[in-house]
Amino acid sequence: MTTAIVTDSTTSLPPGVLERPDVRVVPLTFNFGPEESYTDKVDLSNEEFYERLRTSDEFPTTSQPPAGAFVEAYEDLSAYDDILVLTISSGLSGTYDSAVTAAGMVDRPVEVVDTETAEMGAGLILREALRAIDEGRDYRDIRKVVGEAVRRCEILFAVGTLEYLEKSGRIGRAQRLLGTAFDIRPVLKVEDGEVVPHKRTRGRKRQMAAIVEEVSPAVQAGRTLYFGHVAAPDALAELAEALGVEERYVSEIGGVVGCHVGPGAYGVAYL
Amino acid sequence: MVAAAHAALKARVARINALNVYPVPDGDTGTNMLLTLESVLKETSKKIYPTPRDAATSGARAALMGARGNSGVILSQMLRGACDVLAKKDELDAETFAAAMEGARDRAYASMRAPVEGTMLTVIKDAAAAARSATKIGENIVGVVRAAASEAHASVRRTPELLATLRDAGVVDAGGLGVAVILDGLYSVVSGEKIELSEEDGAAADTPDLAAIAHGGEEAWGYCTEFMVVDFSGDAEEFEDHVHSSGKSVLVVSQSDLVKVHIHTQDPGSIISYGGSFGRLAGVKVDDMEAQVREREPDVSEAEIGVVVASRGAGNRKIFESMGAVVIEGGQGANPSAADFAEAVQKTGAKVVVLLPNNKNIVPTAEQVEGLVDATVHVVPTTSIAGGIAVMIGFDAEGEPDEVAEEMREIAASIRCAEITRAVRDAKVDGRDVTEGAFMGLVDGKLVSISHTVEEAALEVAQGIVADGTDVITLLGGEDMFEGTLGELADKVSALDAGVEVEVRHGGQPMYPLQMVAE
Repeated sequence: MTTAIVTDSTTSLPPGVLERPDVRVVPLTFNFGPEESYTDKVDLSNEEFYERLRTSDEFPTTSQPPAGAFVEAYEDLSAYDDILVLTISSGLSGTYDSAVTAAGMVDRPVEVVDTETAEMGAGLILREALRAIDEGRDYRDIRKVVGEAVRRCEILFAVGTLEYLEKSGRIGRAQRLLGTAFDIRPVLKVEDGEVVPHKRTRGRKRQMAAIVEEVSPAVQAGRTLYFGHVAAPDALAELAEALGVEERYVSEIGGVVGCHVGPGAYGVAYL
Repeated sequence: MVAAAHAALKARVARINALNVYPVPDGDTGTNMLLTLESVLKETSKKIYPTPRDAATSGARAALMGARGNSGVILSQMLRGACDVLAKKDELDAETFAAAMEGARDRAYASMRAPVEGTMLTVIKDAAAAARSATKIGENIVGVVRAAASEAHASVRRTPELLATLRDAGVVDAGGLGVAVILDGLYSVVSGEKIELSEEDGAAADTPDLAAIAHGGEEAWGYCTEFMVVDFSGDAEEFEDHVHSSGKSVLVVSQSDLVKVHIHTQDPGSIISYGGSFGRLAGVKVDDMEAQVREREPDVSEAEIGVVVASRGAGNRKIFESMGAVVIEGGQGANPSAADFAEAVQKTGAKVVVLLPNNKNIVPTAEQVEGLVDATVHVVPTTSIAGGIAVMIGFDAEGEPDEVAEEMREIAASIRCAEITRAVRDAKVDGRDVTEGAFMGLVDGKLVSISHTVEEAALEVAQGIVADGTDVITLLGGEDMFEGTLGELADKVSALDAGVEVEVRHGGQPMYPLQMVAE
């Protein structure tokens, strides 16, 4: 019995994943107006994307993959007995719906799992799934491992400004942080698939200190960490140092999630 | 009797106000005590109560509702103690008066966590003892009250011997004098004699700027309008008269040919164009205060936890409201009453309400509010507006109320607050000589800098704070602080340490050209 994995491009990919024959990544896209569309993590480098973001009068929009893109991926993996799909939180994107619709269009066993997180969080869940596959476990075991990972995975992130989350409508319950006449730097987390405030802080240092405080117990417990950033490698290095860990996994966050959190955002997921 | 005490106090209010240990232009002890008595007067005058008990109970409650500032709160406790005794008596005789004085003393002492001698507490204690002695030698009510009043004045004169801060400042205790003056009023009623005003108990002091106090009653009415007239030419007196007759909360400040105007008016357009006829207009700012009130009506149905803050200045109001607080105007020189707080607490509609007094003198008033409202009240004893804003970061309307209150308390304990203000007379503060007009930089209430300019004082204060370590410093500009100066100052503070983030806001508070908070 063999299992293959399909995920979307908002999942941070641990090294080597792209080369695996049993993994397919379905891209989301982001658009500056109707004429200008880019494939997530493919068409533009992070620097190019943020330059475009800075110079654009228009706020970019993001698009979930068409169901057809998932159908294609499922068909590509016809050599495998089972397909497990890991998508970005259904609370943040319609990608999950596309994946489910596509599953009904192919004549093979496909199960779609909502990771209830994104980027680094989804990356850690993907890593667990691949580890189970590599250990030769059967589909039921793999599915159980993934379910457990979704339950345990946590993600905390800092944004430079709430403006991007607000404009993109992905601000969720962090909405109440908006509109203050005093500069608040919030630490946010994703809970039940939605962005929620973890702590409101003042200043960059305190924002980072709040993340360190929350994540330190996880570091002591030896949990796996996955760091991610949006054009903020220095802040990330500083965070890793403050946590006293080697940066185990680090990815640049792509344009799609980047459109929502804005430049300067960084964070860490742990499992 | 209350009316006479009130009249006596009113006659001396300016003098009592002038007796302030700190040479900061707050000087509101007399005003606070007067307003407290006024509240009792309003409640009890022209009313006939069925029993002395009813009269005493109503009087005590009115005092509590109207108590403003530290001195007002203590006075309200004295009145309550006295009323408790009076409630049990049918007649006011020598014995009853002495017992009422003792009741006032006991209640006042009991209300203070750490009673300080050389204050109004000592004065009531000495006066009560004198009243008791007088009853023992068979004095009638007139003799007993006279003994109490005259001992009260003697006690006031001794206050500098008991309290070093009074000695250094060269004044007697203001609250104590207030108590003595009230007893004078009582004496005039029982004896039918007129009150003698002795000059010795005032010490030499400037009369405070009462205009600033008047300004404190700022209410949400019309448009808060501010502008400057540059190169002013024309009849300054006529200009000032016209502005004063055009609205409320009027302030006209001139410096050579620059005139700055602050006014609340229903017709901002006409006053601005009037100003334009005297010179070039600059810094025009118009805020619809009624709209601000409308906006801040909170969602009553859902609030578990709310915040009420005392604040001054339009900018500060905006900041607090944007963070979800209900704002009552009041601060240095214009202390709100416990009833003001209670009303605002109702406005939040929340079951748990955090109070941020944002001023040392308002903390005791805030602590009285718990007994006046149904909501659970947490007082986080902030002592500056800037500090209060920093504490608001911890406020989360949807959070678990006890946790939110605790978080706000923790922030209050972790911040450092600084303020720059101007000495209104020569004095000795914390062992240093301060000359009138000098700018004093205070950090957490301690004098750390005396300078000729706001900038120098601010920079010296900031240097100390940065050296002790901080992440974010917020500069809150006062009403007379120019944007440009504030910006330059922020640059200089930034230059002290590249690791420190500096945030600048225009708060508009009076009396403090600058407040800072270090987080």
